[in-house]
Amino acid sequence: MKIKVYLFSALLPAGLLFLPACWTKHQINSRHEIKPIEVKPIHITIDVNIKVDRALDDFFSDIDEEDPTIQQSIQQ
Amino acid sequence: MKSKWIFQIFITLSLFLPAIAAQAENENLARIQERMRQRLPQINELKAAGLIGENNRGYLEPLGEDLEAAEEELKEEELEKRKTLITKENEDRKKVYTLIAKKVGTTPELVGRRRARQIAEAAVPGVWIQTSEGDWIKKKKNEETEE
Repeated sequence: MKIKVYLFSALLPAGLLFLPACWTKHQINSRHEIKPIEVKPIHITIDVNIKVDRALDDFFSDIDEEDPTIQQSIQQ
Repeated sequence: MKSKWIFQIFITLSLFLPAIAAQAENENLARIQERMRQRLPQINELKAAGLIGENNRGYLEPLGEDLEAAEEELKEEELEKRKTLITKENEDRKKVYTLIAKKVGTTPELVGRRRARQIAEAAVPGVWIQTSEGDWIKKKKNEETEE
């Protein structure tokens, strides 16, 4: 009986000593950022260029048709 | 009573004002178009002779050496006529670019550069054009150019 008590009292601190070794920690860090919607300048530039080209075509198409220095195939 | 009439006239005018302005703008553009059309044969003659070219800003430009050589043979009166022709054409182009820029919401410079690009792409062989880098090149067949 005494042996059991001695054994128990010796193993208990040893067990408590190694107890932290049994503890594992699992942590997943995830960060979610919601970025504001960006209107990229390149899209704006293309849009403006298209509008400008259209307006130029509207004005110059008649003149270009009469201009022999402008290729007819490109005009149409 | 009188103030009521004045107010009504003012309201009526303010309603029609944008329409009047738009009509004036269209008439102005039509006049510019007509003037450009009339100048076209003379401009093409100079282009064919290699005396003027289309720069990368959408305007006509006298070509340095060729123009200087030709100037010696030209009468002063004729030279003045040519300079006036280029100036008038460029003034009208500037007006068109400004109106388009205002309409689209950009700058006349950008409109001019876009027009220069259109001309450079569509020009027939033999026309002098300025590249976006600033070099003057003579357009050749199949989009080839010579320095």
